[in-house]
Amino acid sequence: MRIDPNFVQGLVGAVDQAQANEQTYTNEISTGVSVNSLSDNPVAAAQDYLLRSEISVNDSFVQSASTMESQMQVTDTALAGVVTQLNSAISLATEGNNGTLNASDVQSISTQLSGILDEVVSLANSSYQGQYLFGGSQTQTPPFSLNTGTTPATVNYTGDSDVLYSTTPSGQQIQVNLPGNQVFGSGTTGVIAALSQMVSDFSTGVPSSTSVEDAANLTTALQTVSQQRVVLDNGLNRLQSNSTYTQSETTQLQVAQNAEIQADPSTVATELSQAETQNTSLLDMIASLDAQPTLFSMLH
Amino acid sequence: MATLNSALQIITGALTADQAALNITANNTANASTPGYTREIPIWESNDPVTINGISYGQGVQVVQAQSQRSLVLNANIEQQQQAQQATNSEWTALQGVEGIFNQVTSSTSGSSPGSLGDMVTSFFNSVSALENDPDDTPTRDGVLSAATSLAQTFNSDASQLQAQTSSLNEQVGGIVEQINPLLNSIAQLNQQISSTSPNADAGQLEDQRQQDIQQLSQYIGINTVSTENNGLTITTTSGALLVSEGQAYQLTTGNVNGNVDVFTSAPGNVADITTAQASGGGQLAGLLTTRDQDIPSAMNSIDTLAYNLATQVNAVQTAGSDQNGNPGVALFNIPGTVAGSAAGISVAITDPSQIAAAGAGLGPGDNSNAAVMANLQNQSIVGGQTATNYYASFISSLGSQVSGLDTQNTAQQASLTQLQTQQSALSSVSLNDEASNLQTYEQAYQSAAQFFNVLNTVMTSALNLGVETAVE
Repeated sequence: MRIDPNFVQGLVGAVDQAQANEQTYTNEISTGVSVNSLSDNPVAAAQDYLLRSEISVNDSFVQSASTMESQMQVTDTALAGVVTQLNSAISLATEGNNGTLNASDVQSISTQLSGILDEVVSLANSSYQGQYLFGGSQTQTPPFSLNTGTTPATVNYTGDSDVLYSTTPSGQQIQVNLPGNQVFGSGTTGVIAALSQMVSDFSTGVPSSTSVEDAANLTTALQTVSQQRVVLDNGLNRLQSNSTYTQSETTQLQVAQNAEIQADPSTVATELSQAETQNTSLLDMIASLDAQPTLFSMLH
Repeated sequence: MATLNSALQIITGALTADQAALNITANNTANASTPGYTREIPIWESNDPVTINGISYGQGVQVVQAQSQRSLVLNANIEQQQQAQQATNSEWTALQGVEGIFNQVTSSTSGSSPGSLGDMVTSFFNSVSALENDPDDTPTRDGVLSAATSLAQTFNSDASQLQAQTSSLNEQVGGIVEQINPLLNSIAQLNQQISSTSPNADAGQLEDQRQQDIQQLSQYIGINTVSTENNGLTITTTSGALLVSEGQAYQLTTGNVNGNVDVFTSAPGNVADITTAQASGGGQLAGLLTTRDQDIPSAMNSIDTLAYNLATQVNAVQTAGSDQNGNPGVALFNIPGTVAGSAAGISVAITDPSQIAAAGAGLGPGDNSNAAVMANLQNQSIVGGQTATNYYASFISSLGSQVSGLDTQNTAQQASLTQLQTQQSALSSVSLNDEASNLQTYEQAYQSAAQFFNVLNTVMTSALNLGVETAVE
């Protein structure tokens, strides 16, 4: 049977293929990645995108959770200050109500309570990076103001009852703020009103008839603050643990991503070596075929 | 009774036949590197014997034909395989350009974002998530605006790159038609020459040239060939449009239809737009037309759908909320009224970050409920029954699979074509070893015949001189 006299031309195609393979493997080794285009491995490329997207969502959450954690910590610190102030106020109220103090001392207690009131109002108007923490959704104006024109001074709350939630990548909703009216009350209820009432109770030098009851209200108000603080701290804990979990999940996702697209150096090196051998052998063979004489060169 | 004269005639004929065979070998050797040349072999035929007194005497030999060693079946197979392979190859090549637009695979294992359209979608939602955690923060709001702008610009850029691919394919379609027309003319001319010089037999090198032209034509366009009388050929496109009828070529023309270059036939009474039909017809033209008229519009539709649904949903959430100043939210994206053209037409409608409606309706700037709803769009099936990221992942996976599939198909078709070409080459190509061997054979035959002639000449001389050596020499 006749063979193709031009078969060497076919071998040149094989050389091209072997060289293309060498290039591919060299590229894989230099980049460390085996999927360099969608068509190299469409499923891995799509999976790579989804994993990359998920990692990026996680990274973004961890970052914004960190901002939120700072804000919540500032909120907690403010509440800690409020609790300290209220404990002082309760001690002062108890002292004022024990009936042993003279008028001047009672008035002095009233003055100290007034200072605490101002401090608590100031803490209730705490802000973080220019945003008021206890205004609900109204973060741009101080939520609490004290109307000292009345006796007792009345508290005016200009925030709202909006509760904010942060959504984790897994879809959990975590409460991240405390609307001021829930913590400090408004109008004639809550911590500020109770403090204001105590200031008024002792202002004349003689404790008013409701001062004991009002002192009890102050204790109740402190409990409300503490309860709200627990809500906040729970939220902070959940946010922190979610953030930690998300970080560890990101590490796992990165491992999965690497498994999808990373080139295995030893495998690729072996493949490269094979392609090189094939290329060299083909070139040798073509060179030796070309050097072979035809029958014409043998004729005399 | 056989005579010396007849022996001389026989050997003279043999010398002529050997010369003819040497001529054929010389021609084969000369054309060993000519593309499309089909080697010829001498067809030897014994002359009819003469019967004298009941004895049959052979009358020598003659070379009756230099026969081209071609297989019409193999040629037809090669044409068909070439059309299929070229269609796949050109679609594969063209689609790699499309793949390149969406090719952003994580470039290193550090997980860095390569900035594809899909990454921009993720970035946009990440910026909205950040806003959910810090709704009243102006830099965070700037971040949303900036991510929305990058997203819209990436949609625009991808759409314009797809459009550029279409333009490039239009140019290539025009270029291919320019390559086809001279071949049609050449084939028509060769048809005429063959019909006049060799109406009933193989026309040798003229047929080689015609076959070479047809094979080139098969690279460009899907064709059918039909043999006609007088050794002519009629060529039609696979869709039946007449291209060559004997000595007449019907040129293809191009025209602008809806912004694309379409291909028309010019056969009288049958002038028609054959673009759609030829998209499945074979040859490079089919691959280009398939990519231009099916693959690219499909990719464009995918990103249009993504742009349209994403923008529409984001706008719906945005307009349901309140912005930083307490005003009702306005649309974040400008988007055309229909899916078509959305990727090219999308833009960011607002310039002031305070206009982003992070808060629920009527709530203050610190509320994040609307931002939460917007961020949650990332997890909702808002595009073709899938989330935006899954939709994009399906799109790139399907695009990658299509390119990969074409690659595999192209390799298989190329292997099959190579096999057919090897078979054809084995049959039709010139082997210098064969020719050298033939040269030796015919040389020896010629020398033998010449020697024989010489001997016969001596015998004849002897016969004429009747034994007297000097009378005639």
